[in-house]
Amino acid sequence: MSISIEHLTKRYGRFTAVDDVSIEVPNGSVFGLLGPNGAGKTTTFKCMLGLAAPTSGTTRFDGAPLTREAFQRIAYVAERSTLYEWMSVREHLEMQRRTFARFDAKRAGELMALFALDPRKRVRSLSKGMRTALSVVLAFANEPDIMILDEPTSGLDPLNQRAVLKLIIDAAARGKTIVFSSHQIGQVERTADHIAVLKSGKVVLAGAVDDLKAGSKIVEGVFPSESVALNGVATDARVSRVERTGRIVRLTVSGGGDELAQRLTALGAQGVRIVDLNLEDIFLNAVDPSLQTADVVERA
Amino acid sequence: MMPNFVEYLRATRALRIVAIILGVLLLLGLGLRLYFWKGTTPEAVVSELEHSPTAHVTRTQLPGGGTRTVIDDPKLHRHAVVVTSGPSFTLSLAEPRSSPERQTNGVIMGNRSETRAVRGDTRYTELSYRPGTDMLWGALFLVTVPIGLLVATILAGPLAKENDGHLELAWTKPVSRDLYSLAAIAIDGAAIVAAQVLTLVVILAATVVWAIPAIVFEPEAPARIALALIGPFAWYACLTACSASLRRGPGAVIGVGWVVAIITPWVAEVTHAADPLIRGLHALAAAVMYVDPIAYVWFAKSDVFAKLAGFGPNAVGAVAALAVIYVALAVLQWRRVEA
Repeated sequence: MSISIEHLTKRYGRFTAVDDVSIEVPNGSVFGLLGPNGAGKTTTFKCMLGLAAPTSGTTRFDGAPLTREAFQRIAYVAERSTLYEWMSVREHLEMQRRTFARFDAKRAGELMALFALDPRKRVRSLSKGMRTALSVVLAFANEPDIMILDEPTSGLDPLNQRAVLKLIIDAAARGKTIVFSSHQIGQVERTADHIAVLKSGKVVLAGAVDDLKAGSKIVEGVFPSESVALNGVATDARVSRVERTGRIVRLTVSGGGDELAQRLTALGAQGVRIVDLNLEDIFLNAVDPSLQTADVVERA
Repeated sequence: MMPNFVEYLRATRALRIVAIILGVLLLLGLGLRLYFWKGTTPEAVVSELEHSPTAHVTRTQLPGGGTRTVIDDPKLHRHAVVVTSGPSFTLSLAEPRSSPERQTNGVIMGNRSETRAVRGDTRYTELSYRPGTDMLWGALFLVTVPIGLLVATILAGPLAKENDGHLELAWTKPVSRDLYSLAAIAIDGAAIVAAQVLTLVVILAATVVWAIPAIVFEPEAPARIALALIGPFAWYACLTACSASLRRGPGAVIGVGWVVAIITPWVAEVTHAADPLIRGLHALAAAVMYVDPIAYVWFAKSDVFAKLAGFGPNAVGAVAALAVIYVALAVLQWRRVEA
């Protein structure tokens, strides 16, 4: 199932939480939705699923508006626990079994074992991580075609985080469409083939991860002191972003990497290297205006 | 498919609470019955009186088909009159105060009664058994209303409970919001009625251990039964409607609702106050009573309703209408809630 979000806007009074967001999620892709806190990721998910009424815009699943029947094929893991404190883990599984025609009890059992969940325990006695794990179990046991996962590794220990990421990758390999958000960009980089970056409710970057990485490089130089002037390197048109961390200067460049590396060497850099852009660089490029222009760094 | 499994669990848990309460009451009833289960039966008392060697027994057929038996025992200074008519039975016994006490199992309960009095040197005992006059279907159902209200209160506000952090689970089920909310309300409604029926069964069981009841379907029974069954559900619907759009549990609404329901009828009764403030409060309370289902159940026959709207005779219709209106209001609000 593909997902098409078209000009989605959600306002709460005078506050615009989601502002004209348009996103295409191809069928069978793993789509990472990134953004700082309050960027509008969760609100976007809620509007997509009809949990909140969008002020304007539409979301289409395989070209059709969302219907209640479609929820047989859609699973959602919310950012915070939505489980019932007073119910046991087993009762939550029973709830899913009685609700979703595609619920696979055998699969649920496997997932329970994977996360070492005790079916007799009540949710109120579970840790935050175990609650997240149970939410993931409930979502994946339904064998949905679309999974919308809002911070699906929140509170999980590294082993279980890895397990969730593996589930996502396995599901994508079986043709499922997955949209997920995470503050851990490394996780998104490991799993997502497409991303969109939200900032203040707007999409500031979207596309296939490989395409976004292509063409840009990082030129990184280590200087003997922190007070070296860059002498116009930062204002070069090919430099889209400059970061200075102590004695390390990192340039995000759209071309001419070798030449800019030589210029850093000429300015006194003791070591210079050219590396591929990672998702964190792409994300920071998109959302951090304080480091967006060379002038800021030059003044600093 | 049962998308409302959570509500089903809530309802069964509430019924379990009711079953425990009723079970304890039934056990207490059985314990009391065992405590009083000593001595002889009234029939055995009569037999003992008749078979005294010095007793003179005179039997007379009564015009209605009954029998009047007079037992005189001059030696023992006993005089007894026993009247039987079908299953009805009455024994009037006068005997010396010094005679041994007879403990019968006919305590004042249900349709069997026993009274004793001592005047001078004589003890007078009246034992009677009169079936068919003391248990009314409608009244029996009205007795179940408190339990119905208890369950209604426990289950009230299912939509607010879902809105208290569970909407993402509730609304990503393959069922419309309307159907989801209506099914939840229907499950709770069934649980309220089930609790009342369970209460009725326990009342009958508790009665049977004392005496076989004769239950009469009185002319007012249909209205009473309808009022008894719809009233608690209407109260549940009222609380559910008032809390449907809350973003937290319904506890506050339930608490305030009960306070209002308890206070308003009494304020509405105050009609002669000269103080304009009191008169204003009276008018407000009287108005609130129109939309308070509990008022119809408890005060349908009170002067307040007779004076205000003449709703007394039409209490069933009014409560049913309120229930429908409150359910509709709850569903309409639920449609507009956002996660």
